[in-house]
Amino acid sequence: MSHHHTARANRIGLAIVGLVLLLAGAAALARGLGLRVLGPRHDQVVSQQVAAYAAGHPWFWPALAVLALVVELLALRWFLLQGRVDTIRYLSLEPDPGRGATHLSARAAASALEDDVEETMRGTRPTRGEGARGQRVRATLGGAPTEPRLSLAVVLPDEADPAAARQGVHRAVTRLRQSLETEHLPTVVRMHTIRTHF
Amino acid sequence: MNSPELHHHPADPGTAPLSLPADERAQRRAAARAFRPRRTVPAAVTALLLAAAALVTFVGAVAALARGRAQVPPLTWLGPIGRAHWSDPAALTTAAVACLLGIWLLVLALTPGSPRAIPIASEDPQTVTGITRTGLSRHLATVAAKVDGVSRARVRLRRNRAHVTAVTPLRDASELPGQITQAVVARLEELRPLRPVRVRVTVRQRGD
Repeated sequence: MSHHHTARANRIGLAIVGLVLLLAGAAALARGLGLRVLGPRHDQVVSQQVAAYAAGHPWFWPALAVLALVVELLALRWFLLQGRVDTIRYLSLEPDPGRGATHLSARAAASALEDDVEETMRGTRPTRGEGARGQRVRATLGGAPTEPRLSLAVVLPDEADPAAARQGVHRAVTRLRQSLETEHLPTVVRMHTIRTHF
Repeated sequence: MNSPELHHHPADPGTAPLSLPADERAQRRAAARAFRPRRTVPAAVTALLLAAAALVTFVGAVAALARGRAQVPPLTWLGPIGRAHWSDPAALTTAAVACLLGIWLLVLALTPGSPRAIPIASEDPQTVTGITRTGLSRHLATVAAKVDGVSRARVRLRRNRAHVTAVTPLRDASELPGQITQAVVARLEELRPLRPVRVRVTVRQRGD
């Protein structure tokens, strides 16, 4: 499940719930304030007509129960979508399917990249060792095993040059592409800095 | 303590040429897509509340269905809601709150939201690079603080403007705003944010 998918599902879900709340709230407000079309404003929310309708139709309560159950399941599914991370377990990058498939651990490739980026950035830093403090790289491979996507979270010390880090990341990603023998590896790099001096 | 303030408004530094190359426009689009907020927190809260409401409805419906036939826990706390009148202040308040909540959820759903990172230029077209807002402010603050004569600096980033506030012990700080601007703009030019960031510098003199 990609992040784009989750993002779209969230926006559609929020829009539907928002619209229902807005319409129901507006209708209730209009009736309470005296819009006669909707009914007398001093009526009970559950009026005798409503109660009689529910009592007179044997399908009413079962239908409501089924509807509530459906909404319940959809809501839980939507909730569980939030915790899902876009990660794949293996890479399958054999260009020719006739030659069989080579499966490669995605975690292994990602941690090799993490080490590579850290090493490259340490190399470009003027002060060795000292500057490595507070620096963290986290790589995740997501998407599909045949069409992986890379996302990199890089945390830098605040005095480190992000432009140099960007170059280091680029070089490491290029090396990863070469070693995976693929030209296509869309990458998202998100950098952040943390305070290292006071 | 903070006596005079020197402001500096450079004309328009760090602004990219007006004509954008096509690939830079594509990079911008890709970055907007990659860093658009996913609305995870409001979605999770809404989903949970929706699930809770559906559960109460389900239990209530089953209770009504089984009334008289089996012992079911009665949802007595739902009683007052059913007996309320449309014109009750409580009902009106609830309706108004539902309206506002609905509008808020619609705004969350329909507006893009502030991106999770400020996109900067990437070295290859397949890569989208960004730096978080606080990350960039912190870094630019260290750049400003490295200028001679600056004892402390702070950067606030809002939209496409960086506001640098620097503190100096120097008596004559007339050249400082220009120097700080130059340093920060130079760093920004290296980073090449996809949307140009304008720099404004305020220097506070602090007599020790």
